[in-house]
Amino acid sequence: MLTRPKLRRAPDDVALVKILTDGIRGTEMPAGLDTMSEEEIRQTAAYVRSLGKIDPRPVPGNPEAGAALYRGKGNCAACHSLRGEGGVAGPDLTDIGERRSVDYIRESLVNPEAELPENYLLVSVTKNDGRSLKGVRLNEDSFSIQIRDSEGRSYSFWKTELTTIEKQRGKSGMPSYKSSLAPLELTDLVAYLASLKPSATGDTK
Amino acid sequence: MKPIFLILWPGLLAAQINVPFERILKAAEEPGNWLTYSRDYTGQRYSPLDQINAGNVARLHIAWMYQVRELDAFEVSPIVVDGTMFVSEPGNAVSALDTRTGRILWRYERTAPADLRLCCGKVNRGVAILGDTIYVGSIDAHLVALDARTGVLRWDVAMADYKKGYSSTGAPLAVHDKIVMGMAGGEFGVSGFIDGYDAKTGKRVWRFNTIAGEGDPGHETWSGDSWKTGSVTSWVTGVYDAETDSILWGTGNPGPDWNGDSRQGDNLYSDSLIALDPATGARKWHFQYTPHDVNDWDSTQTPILADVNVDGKTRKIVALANRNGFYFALDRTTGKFIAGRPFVKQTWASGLDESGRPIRLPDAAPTEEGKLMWPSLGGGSNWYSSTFSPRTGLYYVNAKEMAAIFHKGAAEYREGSPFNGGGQRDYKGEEPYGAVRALETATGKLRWEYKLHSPSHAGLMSTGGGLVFGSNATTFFALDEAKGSLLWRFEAGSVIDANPITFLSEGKQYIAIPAGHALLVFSVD
Repeated sequence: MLTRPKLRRAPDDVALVKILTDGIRGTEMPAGLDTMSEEEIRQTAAYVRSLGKIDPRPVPGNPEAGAALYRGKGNCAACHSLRGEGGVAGPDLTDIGERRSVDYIRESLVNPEAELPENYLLVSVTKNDGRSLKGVRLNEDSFSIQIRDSEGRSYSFWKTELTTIEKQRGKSGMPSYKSSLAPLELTDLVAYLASLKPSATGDTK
Repeated sequence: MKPIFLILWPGLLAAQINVPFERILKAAEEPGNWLTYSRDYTGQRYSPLDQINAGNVARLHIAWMYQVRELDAFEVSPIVVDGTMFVSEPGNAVSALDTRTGRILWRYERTAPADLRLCCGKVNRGVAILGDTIYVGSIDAHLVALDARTGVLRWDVAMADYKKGYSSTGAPLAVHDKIVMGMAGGEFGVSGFIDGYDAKTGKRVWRFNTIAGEGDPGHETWSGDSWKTGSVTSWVTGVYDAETDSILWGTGNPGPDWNGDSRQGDNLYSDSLIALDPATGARKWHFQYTPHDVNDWDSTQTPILADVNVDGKTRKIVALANRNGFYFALDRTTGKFIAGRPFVKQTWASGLDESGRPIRLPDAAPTEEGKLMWPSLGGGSNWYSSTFSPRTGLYYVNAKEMAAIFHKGAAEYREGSPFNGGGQRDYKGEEPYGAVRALETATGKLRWEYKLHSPSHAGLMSTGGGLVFGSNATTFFALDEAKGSLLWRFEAGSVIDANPITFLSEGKQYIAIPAGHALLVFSVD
């Protein structure tokens, strides 16, 4: 989602070139220096900036009706937050309209397991005494694993305390809205989510 | 629709992170946590935890470490809530760590602008918590609120324009339903303030302007228009006196720092302690430690509230070993002076008068050629915390014995540019040194000292185990609270610029101190 005038991590050209050169730590964004020359990085930065000048495609649907679905029938706030208010089972959606395309948002609603967000791997662990816990994985190494449950509580286990760690790869905690929303409702909900662009409205980020 | 995954483990339910005001108010009832900058509202930086004590501290060893990603001075005093530690890091980042393993639970990072105006690096000294929200100042002078469970941004408000020299480095203080926050930028001719924000919305509820402006009492203490560029920042966390419902917060130097010619007068409320109503920000009283400062002796250090015996009577004191070289004990209900005396060598005042005002010696000010004065601009102590132990009744300070040659220069205000009017040169005639000094809280009289080869830039903590933890250069150490003898030390391999804390994790005591770019966490097996 680079087709916007203001990039969250690259407020100026110096920052943009730095990101293209070094990548973004802790994300999928790789360092470009290995594959591109300095000149190519500058050209890429200029291209990225030009994307922000393209008029965005109009999004079909009624965002106001979508907002009502978000709060009501869809019950999205049970699992997602806007500005940190709402559920914590799924990712915050404050700037989802900036981060993801309309097509991506629609696909996520219809087929949540098509692509999963980072840091939302579902895991289920069983302790030595037989009790079990499900949540999303926050962190893991050879010796310990940290999990957050759908209510936002964090847990930490040494692996010696666990008998099983089951990772539900490709699984999402989110239900599909394919059949629970009518096609027009789905379009409205997508329109609402696509409108969540804090930088476009001048809100602080 | 309901989330598909739910917890089926009632016996293991961790507590939801939630720290209402009442919990911070009663921090004494939960010694295992460290809920606010100085552990509790008193600023004492004392923990009653005693598992680690004089008998076993020699066996203290590293339990885990956490390394920050951006290389700058690491000055944080973390907070710990029910097994989670919240750490602010250089580079506008906050991490939540599991205290059991040291592993990251979440991390928030906020891109800082490239054109910052800073005197002293991209430092941050910590976060505050209220309810389930974490609050942190950003280096570009914003106040940021994060969901304590996930690190997700709740709100972000600009306190001031960083391009004019404003920044934020201190930890916020949560009081009632407000987030109280100071600011930095004392070398840029800014207009200082202490703010109160609605914790839920981020809306600014009040601002106390630390420079007495037009119509304010004390405005006459600034000649001409000098008040407009008078600085007076508020960059270290203050304390809260529940008995009088007052915030006590220290203020910084007047600007330009070393040339006072254009700002004749006392320059209120620079280098002062100010008592504020937390609901409105209204000033209740003030005490100015260094009237008309020309040495950059900020008085922003965290003061300490303690009840001590003075002449057979229990007095409610606010104590501070000031950067200007004097120790002060004030009545914290009125701001009136009780006692004071130098705690390091000082050559600028003949003493304190009856009201506690320093009596400045003739010519005790920077000159164009340079004037040798004690203490240096770093002061007799600095931003890092002193500690008070209720066990001994002593006030412990990391003192600096150091002189400097102060020189005065021209100062012309240009927005966003340094506005200093001079500076200091090293004095080669005497080798500077440091000392942990134990002072009688009622008087400031020296009880004992533990000498340090070089001056430190790090704070102290006292514990129920009879220990005083401190640092010197790259060494972290523990002293006996009563005698000042060295009981344990650890070579950290890089400079320590921070205050220690202690906490329980699964019932076991840990001690934490940042060193270099690592947070070191120690325990005894």
